[in-house]
Amino acid sequence: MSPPLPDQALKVRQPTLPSPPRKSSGHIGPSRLPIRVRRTCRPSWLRCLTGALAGALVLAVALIAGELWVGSLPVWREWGPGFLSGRVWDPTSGQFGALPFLAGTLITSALALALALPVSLGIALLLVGFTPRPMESPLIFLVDFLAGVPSVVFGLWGIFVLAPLMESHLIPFVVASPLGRLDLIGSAGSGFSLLTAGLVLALMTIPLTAALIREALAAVPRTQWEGALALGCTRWEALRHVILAQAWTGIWAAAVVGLGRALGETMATVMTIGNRPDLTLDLLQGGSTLTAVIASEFVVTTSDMHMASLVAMGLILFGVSFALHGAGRLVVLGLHRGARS
Amino acid sequence: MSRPAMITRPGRRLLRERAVIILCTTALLVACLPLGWLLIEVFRLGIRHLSLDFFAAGTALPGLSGWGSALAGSAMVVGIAAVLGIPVGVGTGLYVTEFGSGLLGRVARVVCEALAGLPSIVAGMAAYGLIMTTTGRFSLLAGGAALAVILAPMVAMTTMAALQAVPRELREAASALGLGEATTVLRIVLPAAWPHVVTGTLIAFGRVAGETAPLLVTVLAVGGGLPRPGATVPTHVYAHATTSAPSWEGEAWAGALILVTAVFVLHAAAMSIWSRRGRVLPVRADRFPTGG
Repeated sequence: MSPPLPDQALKVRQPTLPSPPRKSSGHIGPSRLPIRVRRTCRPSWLRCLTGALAGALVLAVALIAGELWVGSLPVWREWGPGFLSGRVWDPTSGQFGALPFLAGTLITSALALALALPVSLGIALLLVGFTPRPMESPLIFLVDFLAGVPSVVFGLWGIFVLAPLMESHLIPFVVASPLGRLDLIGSAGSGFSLLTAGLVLALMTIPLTAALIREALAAVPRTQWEGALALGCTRWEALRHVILAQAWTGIWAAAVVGLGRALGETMATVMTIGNRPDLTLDLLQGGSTLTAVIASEFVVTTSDMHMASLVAMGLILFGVSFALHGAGRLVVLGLHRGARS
Repeated sequence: MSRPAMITRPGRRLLRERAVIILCTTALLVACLPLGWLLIEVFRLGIRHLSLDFFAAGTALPGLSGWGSALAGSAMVVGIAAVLGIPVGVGTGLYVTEFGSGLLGRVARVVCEALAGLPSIVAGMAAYGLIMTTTGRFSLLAGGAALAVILAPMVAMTTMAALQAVPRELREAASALGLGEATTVLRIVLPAAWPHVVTGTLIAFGRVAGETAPLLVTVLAVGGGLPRPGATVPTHVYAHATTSAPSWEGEAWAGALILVTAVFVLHAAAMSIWSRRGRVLPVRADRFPTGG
């Protein structure tokens, strides 16, 4: 970035130097004025450079979208939207339906979010309201660090620790309990299931959502909190009526980001979910998700249609992540408006 | 919560507060137990296999190169991502906050925010399609490009946050003194925001270094096999974990320990820069009254 600095600075400035005398000849008053005006109107070299870089990023995203669209075109031609509701996925016989993976993605993410949100809200409240000052920054560091632990490490732990544990302890327990009679949880053998994947996803999402919710809570001015305490509120009352009352927007936004992470998480899912393309609501059965099927089959595609179907699922993920971002913005906007009116 | 109750029965209110504290602490424990367990397992099982030999020797897994070359491969992929992603990220962040009132600025901001939530495997698929199919076998380049797509928006977001935290009075003062916009940004705004940008970039680096999914479909996807030059640490961990044999499991834990240590070091470095900046700030504060 530094080498072009003097060179480009000259390029921009030089053309302005000869022109002012001609332009200013018709003016009355100090001839410096038009020069300044022209110089601020002309974009500086830095504006051009950073604009080009921003343009490159936007272009890269357009290229990604275009590549995914072109790559998945055979699928849309062959089945159209029916691809999304196809129940059978069988590469050997050339049947490609995305519904099992869509369902698996929705189930695991919903499970992960339902488990992660209350826990991370509790952690965030603890950090903001009830933690002594000296403990605050180590705890924040811990939460940030845990949010950065690579997902393949979570997957490894899922394979060798959590899944065997589920198999030997939780599954027999659940099947024996009254819960086992419900349709949602049937008998199953393996520890690699939608439930295991959902648990690992929840564990991964907690540090992220906790950090985001904490930021949302901490964004409420500290003076209001102190004011509430001075009026005789307990710390919980101050949290609830002063801080939580204003931070709902941020909490929603954190939920949306957490959902995005759970939807798009690949490694932890592919390593724990069992990778079976079955359409099931049974949490103890193996299943698969959009990301998991891409990760496990992209390298070993059997036909062009197989590849195109996987790319089509990538396009769905791309669309969902952008739509989720849009929805998050709308929620935030709507809540802001609701709060104002 | 009616007012008389507040005045006459403080005991119940304190009790309620205590209940909430207990609930919140339980939440912290519920999260910390498995997470702590995970870190302990990684450390306990990983440290056994970690030695100089571990990097020098090849692995038992057929078709895979040793951990030393995986480490080199990871360094190369992350290096490519840094070379491509950091200039684009910092540049985009600068453009959006300083000059981004126009259409491009608004589009770039939305694209950055949305890209930050893009599943990383999608970036890998697109890199595979765009780079591998046109240039043939450059798998590390495709992996690096995929990681750059993930890195750039994260860097851009921290740059935006850092620059927005610099008070507007600084820019107005610089402008009033007759500095051009380029000089204002480079000499006044960026120096004030620099520690924040570096902190965020280090943390983003930590995330990218452990990123596995995009590498799985780019680095490993050459010819459908596991090519020798295209090994990285995260994909090695995955390959060792999913092939069931006890000795490979141990190597997977060792690889995981390398990853976790790298992330920890990057976070600690980011934290130390952050806290040093906190100590520097008061000195700056009398130059720039509102801080930065």
